[in-house]
Amino acid sequence: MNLGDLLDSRVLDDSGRRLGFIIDVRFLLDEDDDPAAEPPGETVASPLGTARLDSLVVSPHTRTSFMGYERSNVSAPIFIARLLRWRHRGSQLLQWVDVARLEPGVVRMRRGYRAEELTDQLDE
Amino acid sequence: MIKRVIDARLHLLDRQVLDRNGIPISTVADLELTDVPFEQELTGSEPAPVIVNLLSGPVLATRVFGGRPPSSRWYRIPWNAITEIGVAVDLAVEGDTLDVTWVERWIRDRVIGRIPGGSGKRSASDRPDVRAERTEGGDT
Repeated sequence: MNLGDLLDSRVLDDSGRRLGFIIDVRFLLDEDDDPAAEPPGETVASPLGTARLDSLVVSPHTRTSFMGYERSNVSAPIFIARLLRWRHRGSQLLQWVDVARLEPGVVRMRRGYRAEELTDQLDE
Repeated sequence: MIKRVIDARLHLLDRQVLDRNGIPISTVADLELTDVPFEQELTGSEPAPVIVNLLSGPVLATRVFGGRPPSSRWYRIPWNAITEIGVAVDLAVEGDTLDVTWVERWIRDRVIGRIPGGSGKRSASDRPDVRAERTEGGDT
């Protein structure tokens, strides 16, 4: 699977209600992974650690994202920051384990999926 | 222990890739992940996908018209070759060892290298020490 199969996909809840579009995919770099747990024939550990898909960044109004304003505390230039935050109002972080089904261009969440507000968890 | 959060589009896609000598070799066009079944119900107990390769390839047309290049057209840079992700993506290997640079290597060896003076080897008259000796010896 390529990342491009997920990006820009529509996200639906279990009743088919549209939640938005995947504007980004969040990975966690996990340095303590057991190499024996990796899929056979694939070595994915690196000096950075294993990059494991954790969650989907979903925006209800747009498929695009610009410099991550909606998920950071950056507030300058103020007009751009306000415009982009307004454009991404209602954006949320959906856990990968709550994905029920993948279809081309569509991701369906399971009942009772967890949604978190976007917070400033980025290193930069 | 979790070290770091990476948002793929924000931190990886379209970043420049530098080899171990700091030479630009490519940009990140897409990421290859371990497979997840499409059009099947997921239980949540399946292992989460992990990044296996950075992908680079002919994406101009597909970005304009949609779709994506076939798997055979991608050049792959293994995730375990990456040492740092910052403004650029740094690798631990030399660019010449990766498939993604084959066009540059082919043009260097087959075209540029056959042009007189294009092989990268300096002739004796270009060397500063030889020029200095000639000047001292009255060579004009």
